[in-house]
Amino acid sequence: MVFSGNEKGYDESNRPKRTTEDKFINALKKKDISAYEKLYDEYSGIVGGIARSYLNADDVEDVIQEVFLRVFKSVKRFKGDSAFSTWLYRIAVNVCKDFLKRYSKRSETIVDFEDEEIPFQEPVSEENIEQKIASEYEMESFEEILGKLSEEDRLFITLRDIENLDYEEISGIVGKPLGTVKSRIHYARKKLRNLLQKYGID
Amino acid sequence: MGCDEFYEEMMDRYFDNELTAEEIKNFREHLMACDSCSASFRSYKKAISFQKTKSSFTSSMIGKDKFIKKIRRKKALPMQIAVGFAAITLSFFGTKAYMDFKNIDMRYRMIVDKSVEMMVSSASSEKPVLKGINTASAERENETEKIIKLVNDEE
Repeated sequence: MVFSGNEKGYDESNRPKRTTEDKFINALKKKDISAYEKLYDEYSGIVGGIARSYLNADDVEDVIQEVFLRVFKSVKRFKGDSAFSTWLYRIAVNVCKDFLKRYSKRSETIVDFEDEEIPFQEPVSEENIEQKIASEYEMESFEEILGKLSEEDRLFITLRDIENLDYEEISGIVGKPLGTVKSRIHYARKKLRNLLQKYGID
Repeated sequence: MGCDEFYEEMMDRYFDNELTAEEIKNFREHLMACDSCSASFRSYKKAISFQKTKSSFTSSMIGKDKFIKKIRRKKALPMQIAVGFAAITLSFFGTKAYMDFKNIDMRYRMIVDKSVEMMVSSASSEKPVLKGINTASAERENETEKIIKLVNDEE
């Protein structure tokens, strides 16, 4: 086999796509405030989405703050081995894992006394009542069903079916081989489909 | 339920956009004919769109401001540490220099004091010496006078 040396050529073919990202990363490394504003604007939505569905909780804002602070602290060590977004989402997943650990510690000591809030509802016209009840029932069921999935299954479904990230990127984010990620996503989807069937949702 | 595994696989590939046009056509035809698969397909799509809405997150300006403030503080931190360190170093060397100066001053004073003391002591010891010389010469003069007198008397 002849060594063609096209490894370098491959890198260079990727160059043009990466220049704007490189500039952005350099600005982050230089602690440029406007770069951090851009970081927040561009990525807080998806980081928040990952956090919300992974944790199935609402303190997303705290996760986002923590994720971006970790970026600030460790961006100097980012060598560009993966796409910046992959690296960032990996941090997001790790922060979520830390939050889950905190939750499990908290739930051991704190009993949840939160009352269920009854929101004020507009009176509904007769003909829509049935439809509304049905859709409300569906919403509650979805909430329950998705809550029944493990955090990891929810994460896989979020990354693949909600954020539409490709398998390779997901593999980079969760730090698992491509094959494992594919089968995990397959089983997560299957589990969700089975639960939906069990709850009689169609 | 023979369609389960085959169409489950197909459904996965449909959501992954991996089906060919031909496969999509076959898949649609199957969904039209199979209630179980079409229910599964519909409910999965609904669940995903529910989760999409539920997890959609719009960043708030408050969150962004909070983050930027934290970054500014952290950015300024190394400078603050440097300034603090410089201040500590300066005050340390300043104090040391002052102490050294004081030491020099003390040593200088000691030297001056010592020399003054020496001068004083030498000045005070000068008189008795002079006095001694004076008395000796006076005694010698007396002696000579006495001898002269004695010689004169014998004559």
